Amino acid sequence: MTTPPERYADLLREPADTALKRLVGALDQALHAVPAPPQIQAALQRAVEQRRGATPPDRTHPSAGLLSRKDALKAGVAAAGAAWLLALGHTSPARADEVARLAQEGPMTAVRLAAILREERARWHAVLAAVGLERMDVPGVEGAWSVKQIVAHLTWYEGVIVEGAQTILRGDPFVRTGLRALSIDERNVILAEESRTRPLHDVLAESERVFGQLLAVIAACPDDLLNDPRRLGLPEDVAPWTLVANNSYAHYREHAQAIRAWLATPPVVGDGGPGDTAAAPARRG
Amino acid sequence: MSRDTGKVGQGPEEAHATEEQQLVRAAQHDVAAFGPLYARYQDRLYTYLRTRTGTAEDAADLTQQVFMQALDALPRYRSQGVSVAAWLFRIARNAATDWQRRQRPTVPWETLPEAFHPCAPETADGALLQREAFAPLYALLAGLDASTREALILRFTAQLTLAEIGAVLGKSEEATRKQITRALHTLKEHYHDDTP
Repeated sequence: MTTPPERYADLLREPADTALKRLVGALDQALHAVPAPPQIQAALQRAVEQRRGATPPDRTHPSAGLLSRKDALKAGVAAAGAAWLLALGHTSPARADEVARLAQEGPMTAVRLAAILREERARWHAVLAAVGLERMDVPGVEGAWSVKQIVAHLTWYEGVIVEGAQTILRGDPFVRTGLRALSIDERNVILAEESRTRPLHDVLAESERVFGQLLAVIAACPDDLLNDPRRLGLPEDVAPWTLVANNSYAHYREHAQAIRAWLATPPVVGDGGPGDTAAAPARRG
Repeated sequence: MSRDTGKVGQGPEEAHATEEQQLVRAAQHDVAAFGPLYARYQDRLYTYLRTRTGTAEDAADLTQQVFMQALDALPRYRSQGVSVAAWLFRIARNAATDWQRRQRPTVPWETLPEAFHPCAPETADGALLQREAFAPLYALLAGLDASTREALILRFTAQLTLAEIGAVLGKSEEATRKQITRALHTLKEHYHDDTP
């Protein structure tokens, strides 16, 4: 007979019930846990390292999560910042449909948004893997841009969301300086030029670092801040979390489309120089 | 298999809870300290999710997702009477429910033996023997309703206490005890252990 371990004493209140003892012992053996595959631990380890590299927002800051009781001036500052973040991207019909679908599933939470971001990030990584490191510097993938330049471009917009969210959480003034003060077209041209000569590993490392920061700042956002447009002075139909989506994974998708099209195009003799390509994307999108 | 027969459900529960809270506080302070919590629950969560998804691949994906979600939610975790185990399995249960909504309404329960005795090449023979040995028991489990099976999995696989199972399933400890006791008595009527 299989003797059940002591830990099931709460189920075995009648010591004389040997049939029950046998059953519990058998269930203990039949339903025991099996080892989890090692790749889960590896993925988790990468995530932990990514977070350790990120700078988490100061959660002990007195203003964190308390925006609703900020005075009118601070609210105005947050609204100005959020409104500018809103202007960073656009909403396509497909994007609007997706937001509507997600909204039907209930309010967005930080945990859920982070899960979506990770899933989409994995898809983005798959696109980059299809390109391969050796081809990331090849120009002409999207306009004149190489994949490396596209990565740098995406990272900049994601970084703005990180800084914007940290600023809003702190209740600090939102200041538009440097590239942020420029028009979208001017900014994109400068970003592309700056990234053209940057080492690939540097661009890729920055991209991962900023994504880690994005996850950290999302984790610090109270759920109502992600959902309530009034908290940031946004239009009623614009949930704050969609600003994050538009400037992170929705942005990946747009450029992934161009990269896939490039990958699907057979190479042409004589083609491949930056001079043979069309102009760079005119607008962020 | 390295089975965790640890302290859940046995020994001084207060000491166990304190130890877990210390692990959580350490991880809240530095995410690198999340490792011990992961090590403690990885197999149990993975096996539970195998019973919910039916395939090793989906269970692995979901397990990873659950730990990522836990990592995200860790800064906001406060004990408030809910143990770490119950908290983690509640995340896992929600993730599995969401997954099932997206996939198919039910997982064929015939996959149950494979979940507990997967046929990895190096252990295929042993796993097969185990599955055959417990085949009558799996057949009986297949006859239970899904909610009761889940409660048994949480008790025998996840090694949760009755109170923790209640917290995961949204029931009282007493209601959970009754459900499991009733299930055990039903199974007992039909289970015949021929082993000496």
